[in-house]
Amino acid sequence: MSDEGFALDDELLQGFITESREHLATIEADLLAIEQAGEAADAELVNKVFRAAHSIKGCSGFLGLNKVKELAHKAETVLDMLRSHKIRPNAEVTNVLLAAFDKLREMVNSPLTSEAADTALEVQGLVDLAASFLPRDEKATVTTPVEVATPGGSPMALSQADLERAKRAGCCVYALEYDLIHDIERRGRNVLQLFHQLEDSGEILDVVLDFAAVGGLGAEIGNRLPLAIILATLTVPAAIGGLTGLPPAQIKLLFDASTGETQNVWCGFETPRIEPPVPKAEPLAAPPVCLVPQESSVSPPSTPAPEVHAPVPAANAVPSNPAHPAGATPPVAEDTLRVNVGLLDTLMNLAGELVLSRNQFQAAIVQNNHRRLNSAGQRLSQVTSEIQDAIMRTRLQPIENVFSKLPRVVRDLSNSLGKEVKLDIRGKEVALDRSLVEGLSDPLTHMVRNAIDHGIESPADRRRAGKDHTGTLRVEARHEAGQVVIEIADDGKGVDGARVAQAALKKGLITAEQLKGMSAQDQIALILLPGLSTAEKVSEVSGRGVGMDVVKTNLDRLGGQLDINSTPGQGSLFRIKLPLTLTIIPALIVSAEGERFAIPQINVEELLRIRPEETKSRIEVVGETEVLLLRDRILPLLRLDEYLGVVPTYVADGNQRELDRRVALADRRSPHYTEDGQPVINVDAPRPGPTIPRRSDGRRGGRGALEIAVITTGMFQYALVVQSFHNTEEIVVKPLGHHLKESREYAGATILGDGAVALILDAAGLAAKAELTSAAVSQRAKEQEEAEETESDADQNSHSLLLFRNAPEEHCAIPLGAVRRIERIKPEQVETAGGRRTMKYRDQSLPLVTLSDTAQVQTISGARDLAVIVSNIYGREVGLLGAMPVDVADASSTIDSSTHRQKGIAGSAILRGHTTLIADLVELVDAVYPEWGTKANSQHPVAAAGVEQATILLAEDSDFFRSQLRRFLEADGYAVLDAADGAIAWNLLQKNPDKVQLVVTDIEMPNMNGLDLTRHIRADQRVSRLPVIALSSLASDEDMALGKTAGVDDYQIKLDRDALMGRVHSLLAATPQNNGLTVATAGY
Amino acid sequence: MSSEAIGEEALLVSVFRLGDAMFGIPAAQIQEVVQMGSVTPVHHAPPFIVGIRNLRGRIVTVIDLRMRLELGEAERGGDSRILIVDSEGELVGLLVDRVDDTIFLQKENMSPAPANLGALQASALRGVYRCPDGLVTLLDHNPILKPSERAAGAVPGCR
Repeated sequence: MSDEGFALDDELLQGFITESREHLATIEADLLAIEQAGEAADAELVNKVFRAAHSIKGCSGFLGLNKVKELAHKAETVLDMLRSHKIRPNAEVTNVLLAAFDKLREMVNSPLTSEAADTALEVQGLVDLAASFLPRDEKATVTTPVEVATPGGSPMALSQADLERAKRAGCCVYALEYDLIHDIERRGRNVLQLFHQLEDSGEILDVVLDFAAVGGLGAEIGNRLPLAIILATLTVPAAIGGLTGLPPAQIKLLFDASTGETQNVWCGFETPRIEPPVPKAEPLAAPPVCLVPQESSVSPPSTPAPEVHAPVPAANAVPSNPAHPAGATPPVAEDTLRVNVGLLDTLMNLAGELVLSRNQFQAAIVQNNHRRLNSAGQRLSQVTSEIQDAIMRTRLQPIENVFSKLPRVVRDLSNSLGKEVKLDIRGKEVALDRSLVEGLSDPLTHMVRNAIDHGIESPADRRRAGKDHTGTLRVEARHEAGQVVIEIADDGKGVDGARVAQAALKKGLITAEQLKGMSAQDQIALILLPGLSTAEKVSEVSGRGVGMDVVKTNLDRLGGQLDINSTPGQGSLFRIKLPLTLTIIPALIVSAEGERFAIPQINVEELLRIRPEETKSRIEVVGETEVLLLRDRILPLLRLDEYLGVVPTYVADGNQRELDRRVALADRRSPHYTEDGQPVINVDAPRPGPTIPRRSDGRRGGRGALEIAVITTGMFQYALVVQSFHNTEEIVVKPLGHHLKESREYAGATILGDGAVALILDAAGLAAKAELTSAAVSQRAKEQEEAEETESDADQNSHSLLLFRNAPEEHCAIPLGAVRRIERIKPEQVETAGGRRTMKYRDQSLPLVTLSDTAQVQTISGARDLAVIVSNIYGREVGLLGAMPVDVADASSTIDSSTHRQKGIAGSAILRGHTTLIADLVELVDAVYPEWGTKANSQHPVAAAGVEQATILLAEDSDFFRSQLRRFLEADGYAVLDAADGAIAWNLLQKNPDKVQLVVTDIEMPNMNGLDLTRHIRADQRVSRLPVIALSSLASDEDMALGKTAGVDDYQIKLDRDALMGRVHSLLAATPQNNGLTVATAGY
Repeated sequence: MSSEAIGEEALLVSVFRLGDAMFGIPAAQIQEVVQMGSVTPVHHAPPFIVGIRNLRGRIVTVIDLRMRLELGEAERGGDSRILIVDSEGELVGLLVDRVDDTIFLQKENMSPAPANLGALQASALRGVYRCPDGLVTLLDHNPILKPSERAAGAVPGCR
């Protein structure tokens, strides 16, 4: 019969599914909250769950989904008892209800097969539960039906409990008969609307659609389709006509609250009285389960199933559904979405704007007016981005939809494992694209299960470890820099990296050599390898054959990144970073092998160019692979051109790798193959033979700069060499066809502005295909370290600069060492008062300066995003205003300190092809806040006491740094002797052994380096006790140890002015005048 | 589906060339025929995949039908065309050497496909028709494009 129901109105069915899903979505969380609150449960919450069950019951009755209706009805009964405090909420009650709602959800998701579903267990559970809480003489009402007469004449069964409930509430009970055709459809209404309207003023106890009244095939078609509704409402009989819009003939009063009189109701003890009202349409008419005679309703659970089931024999239910065999179902994926009306209005307005813009555009084209074309173009672009934004917002869903499942998971799992876990959910309002919300469900659930199964210990273990016996699991979502960050943190025993590594070793996933080179972090990251499970015994949870690798794969697919931190004994933190949306993402366009590719911006960490003369020092070959030395990191290098150009292998049947037959295709793409597909050895760029996947010499014979994008996959970074960079643009991600699903190096394709198609590179997939791994790199890093232990670090001489913009075309930089933090702000956050700029920052006022305060540069204006570069000058925080984008580059010492020198600008350098001004923050601050410096200086004893001017010897090979340092020192009242290298410094010192009171020296210098200079000083009687401060752009522990051996008193970071000056003052203060007799203790 | 269509007396078929041989696909299954246009190659993809192409905002995978059927590689030239067909809800392009005509094939002119074919060819060839211009082999593109058949793409004897 369900067939007719669906044929009747597919739209209604869809409406029912959508609505029921919405009801069911929150039920779990609500039930758990009720259980937790116990007796004190919020009545409104119980009511909410009750109404959910109730409304599902109502609609399913109408649609002929009898099984759904029956189960919902029974749940409703129990919930009503809960509501009237006849049942106390406890774990048992919750379990039964949860099971029932699980089943309901399952059935609602595939309504077409729901009639064949086996609900006996759930129904019996509910019936037993209800009965067990009732006094003996009321037990019967749970299942006892009464029969009522409907206005149309066909009798209808009604649960006595429902009737009693209505009576108790002082309601009148009516039987209404609507004609679906005349009273509803023809009046432009729909059944769900009617239900809602009636529910507003009362409670629908039952609904039956009377197909029998339609008559046989011979009857007149489309005449009548009666819908019987039993309504309990406070509305008095006189007013019921107005409420229902029905003529009196179609209303029958069953119970009048004012008189207490019951009419047209027969007690249902005499089952035979109830004749199937619709003999022709059996399944629908099959009397609801209420018909089961009283005795069996409370029978022991060992026998009930068949009896309860009997009225709706399975044999009946299945054939009722011939068009939809059980196997060929169901519409489970959610395909409707609720959108805020305000948002739709916005979209509508924007669509109007779009039309206007188009008209302007066409007019401008006709007039051939350039200026108008420009303005129309701008307008169009603005409207487009607004529409894009609005459309994206329609797809945003709160992450609550996933988070709401977690309490249940935590509850069930901690119960079954005997653990006590407190779940702390935060940020459930954070919204992200619905595809992401859906995709997150599995990985998140899995990680939460993992945290409880493997992370949090049993209460006994926790007590032994001195922890609270209840573990805490925090699941938090928040927005961070245009991304969504989700953290799953537990305070359990943490991940034992060593054990993970041992397991990986045992399973042959890594080699012993690789293990040696691994950091603790790397070892923990091994849990993401497929085929690794560290659970010592296979539990229900861990034994399902799904590991963290699946989580990782799922997250990769969503464009997410996973980061793991763990401290043994204290807990683990899993951090997921996700883009807000998957469909439109910012991406960097690069080209390689003559094609353009898009790299999602989320994967791009930084971009750098390596000049031909630098390649030798920056790119090394370790083992078979090239690596890039980037500051203190070593990254595996992948040349995209070569990866793409390599003769591909193709996995054929039986997993045999064989040579791709596509060589003839390849020769069209790149000139490296002859007609018959043989690789051609080209003079200027020797190609690898077909069997060598990568070039092993690794150096492109000085053929120009290398453009490198540092790519991150979250856990692991690598350097990708491309032919050239293009722009960054927002791209629309389109999926690849199923033939290309195996090509994991591509995340999809996009159509560029010129209509060409570009493939989107998948950072993780590309690394996997190219067989790059972080483990291998660590190994290489280790070898590298050993090999170069004594060799000086080539990086020493370069300095990291933070790049920013002043005006859009003014490239500026500031030494990275001086930067504390970078904050991204909007222009309106800058406040101007008394000619000085400030911004509110952590409840304090942060003074701001810009380059235009002192220097002849353009003012920052028009930038949408400003960067505030926070530094510490004279012990106070100050922010330098710049414009995005902010980046980091290494500048080797070619800094020009004369051409662009002016107040506030220390000099300039050519960085990435742009003349870049290097800001002098101290000068800037001195100009804007002159009182700071004087105050700070007066605090220093040396300067304040007006002691005889001390002389400092400064050795530094970079002109830029030398002049900077000189100015720092002179500003504080010292005399400075400077030298461009160690040898010159040594000469100067020998000439003035008595004059110099302190030495400040760079480490890396030509002729004589800083360490040698120090050794010379320490070896010379006359000056051996002179304090020596060494400067370095990066001071590692090894450097410090080396320096200490050589006799250096202290290490300071270059250009950290305050720290350096503080140290100079204190060393001089500790040293008696004219040649120190004591060497200040070094402050390591 | 073609199997039912073949059951009728006459079938409207688009005839195209792979090398010198004539093949046909029921016209009802072809959404449109487009020129080569700009096809972006997909490196490291199965060999019979020519690349991907923009078809009015949709990304279409273009397959070298000749290579897929193990008949050598398509000749790219001014006559090359891409037949856009629907494969399980997804648009796929079939690169052919030339599109000839759309004709009716009469059922009485059909002979079964020869027995000495490879597995893939056997599953894709629906019969051989005698026509005034020569023999036309009727193809069913679905088995050719089925994902499960992809692995079979590298069967030997490609030349």
